[in-house]
Amino acid sequence: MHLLASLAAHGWHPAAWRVSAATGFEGVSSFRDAARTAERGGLDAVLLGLPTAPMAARQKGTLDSLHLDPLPLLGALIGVTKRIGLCGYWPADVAEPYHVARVFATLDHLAGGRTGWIAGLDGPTELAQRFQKPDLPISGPDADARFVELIDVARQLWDSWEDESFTVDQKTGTFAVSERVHPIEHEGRFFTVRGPLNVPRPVQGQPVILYRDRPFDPARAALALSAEIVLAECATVAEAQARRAEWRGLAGKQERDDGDVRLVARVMPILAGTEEEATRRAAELDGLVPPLAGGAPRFVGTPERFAAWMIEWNASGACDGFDILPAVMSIDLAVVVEHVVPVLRRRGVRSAGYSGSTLRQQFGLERAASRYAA
Amino acid sequence: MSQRQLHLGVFTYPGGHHVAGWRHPSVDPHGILGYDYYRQMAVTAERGKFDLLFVGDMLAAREKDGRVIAQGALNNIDSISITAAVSGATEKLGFVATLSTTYNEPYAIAERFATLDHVTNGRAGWNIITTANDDAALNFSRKSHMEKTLRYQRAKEFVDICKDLWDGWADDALVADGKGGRFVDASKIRQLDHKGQFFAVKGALDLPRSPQGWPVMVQAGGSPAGTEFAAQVAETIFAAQGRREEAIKFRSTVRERMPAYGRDPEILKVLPGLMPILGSTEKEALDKEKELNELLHPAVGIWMLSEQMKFRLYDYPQDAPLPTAEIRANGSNFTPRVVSLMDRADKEGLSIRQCGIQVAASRSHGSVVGTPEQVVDHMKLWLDEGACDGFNIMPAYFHDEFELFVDQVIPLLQRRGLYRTEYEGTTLRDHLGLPKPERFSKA
Repeated sequence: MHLLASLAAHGWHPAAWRVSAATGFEGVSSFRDAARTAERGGLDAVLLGLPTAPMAARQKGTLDSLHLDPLPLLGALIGVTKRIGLCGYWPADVAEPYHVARVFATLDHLAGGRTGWIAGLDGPTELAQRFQKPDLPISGPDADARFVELIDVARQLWDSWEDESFTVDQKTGTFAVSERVHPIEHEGRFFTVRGPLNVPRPVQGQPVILYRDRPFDPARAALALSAEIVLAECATVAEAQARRAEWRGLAGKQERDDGDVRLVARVMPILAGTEEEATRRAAELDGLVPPLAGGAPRFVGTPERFAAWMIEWNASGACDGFDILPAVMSIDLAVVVEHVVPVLRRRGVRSAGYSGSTLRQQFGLERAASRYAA
Repeated sequence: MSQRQLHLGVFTYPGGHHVAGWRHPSVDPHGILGYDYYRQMAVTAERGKFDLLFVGDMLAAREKDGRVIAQGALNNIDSISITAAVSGATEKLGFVATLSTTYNEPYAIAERFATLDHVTNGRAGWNIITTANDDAALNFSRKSHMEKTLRYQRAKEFVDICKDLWDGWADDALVADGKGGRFVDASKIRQLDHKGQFFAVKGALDLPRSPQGWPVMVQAGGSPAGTEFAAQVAETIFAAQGRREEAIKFRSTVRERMPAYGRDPEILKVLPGLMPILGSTEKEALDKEKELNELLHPAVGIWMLSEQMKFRLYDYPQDAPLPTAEIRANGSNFTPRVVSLMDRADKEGLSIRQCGIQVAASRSHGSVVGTPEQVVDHMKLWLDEGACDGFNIMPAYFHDEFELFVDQVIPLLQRRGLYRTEYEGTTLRDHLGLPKPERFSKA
């Protein structure tokens, strides 16, 4: 069972900041603490930069509306962690593929192959005001098509240096084998990119590609070519089963093994030692700020019952793992690490420690092969 | 007047700044992209009480006729990632990351640098470039690189938007009243509504104002348009003049232009690039330089020369004089570095090969070869004659040559009263003696 955690400044319940020890802004330190806690629990990866609430809700002034750029944040976590995967959300709406490829190649080198790119679209309500670009499709089929092409170009750029191309042979003075570094000469509907990338091939070949799924996503069929971890918000087992089956089927149509795409269900746990205490915590949080409509389902209860709930979803084919959205970071993430993970280990669905040194190895995903390799 | 003190940066580079630096036997070439490589640089710089660690930015591979240069060197990898990663291994050192205004969007970059300034607790600087490399356009769906005057107009508007966004939150906008349920006072967050020649941006950052208000505004590039831009916005300049007379002229030109924009020239810190090659005797230093230059593959020098002069020199005899008349006739808008090298080639009769070594060896920045005493004399002379306010040190290779500088040159500078013996503040603005910008001020 994959186990990830989405980090936030205070937590994923909109009232989290009101019950946190520090209600204000702590910069990077709360993220450092959370990443270390997650690593202590042997979680596969932490996810950075996914929005905790839509803009309309954030602008009322009653929510923790903080958003740090996940790229420097991811960088800052490299030196304070050793094994855990570090994934950053970079919405594609206004992004350029050369930037995405260059930054994630850099991060993957610095982190020794522990990175993943969370691709997704923020959509016009988040971005249209901030990036008013008349020639840019910000919604609809063109935005989807641009998104699909952007992922394709980024992957071509990561492939543009073959594995054996970066020789740095001091004796002969040959830095790179020119013939093994390829201009990609991409000419598409939205992007014209010559390449090659000016960063050698990432440690993992390509960083892991996570995809932030949308409830009704017209681009799913095309995205099934590249998505490896799908982050989905499904309210019920049946919905998750259907969504997972759909993704696996679409991956099959792209001539991938259906196990090459993993559905990870997002869930917000509110945990406590007894059912009564957990229910009381949930009521307290909801009383402070009513829960937002939609989004990830929540689980209220004890760590033992949460573990059993996860195992049941996992066993029924609803998902390949979970993205934990701690209701209150300083409470619920620690409870997951100290009380949920040990149960999952005892039940044999999580192993202790990390396998290998890269995030791909941890997920059991193949190293990405370069399309240019002979 | 008391002795002015130097400000020092260290410019990272995978391998080192001498183009053949990565071939030096002390370098582990397979480590030059990893975290530990950059962490060690940062820790060494902090040990030497450096003001800052500087990382450049390039948006296209070094290539000739569609192929990367096999004997060349790699560009800097992403500057924000490096600086964010190693900031946690240090407490005082500042960090300057380079990002282009030609190939980015202001809202995203304002958020990125605000985050970096928070992540580093007020130690961030932004080297604002417009990207000089024509090839970058081909990686960003553009047919050609934007013309220079337009690039700088865009840069000015870009930076103004960023400043407005950084200033958006009043210092007391974050209320964080958990009991009362008010996180921010929305009336104290100004929603920008900008419509200009290049950009339209509405909104505010989702971040409190960062510790320094704005990251330190750094500029590099010495063309007339770049110089004017520097006079308008720069607090620190990474300069490229390799000769003292040129450096004096450049620094005084920018300083003279600043009052026209209502700015005080005394705040400006001009840091020319400097590659020191050190030896315990002058002969030892010269031998080291010779050893490095012998490692330099001639093809790299000719390539760098051809790129910088926008003139294909590949088919010329390498020992013939640099054909400056043809090069001048072929192009215009040469960078000051190129003009300076052509003048020198005319005066001293330098061959193509010699010019190639010149540009490749120090990437056409200044260099000084000698004992620690000689290096200190050189630096003091430049400082005293108004050629600079300090230097951006470009070690020939990492880490040994940089550690030598920190262990042997820094103590001498300190003994001679030219350099701090301890950090006095905690932010990059503190180190550089720069004021924190007032909110809503328009510099």
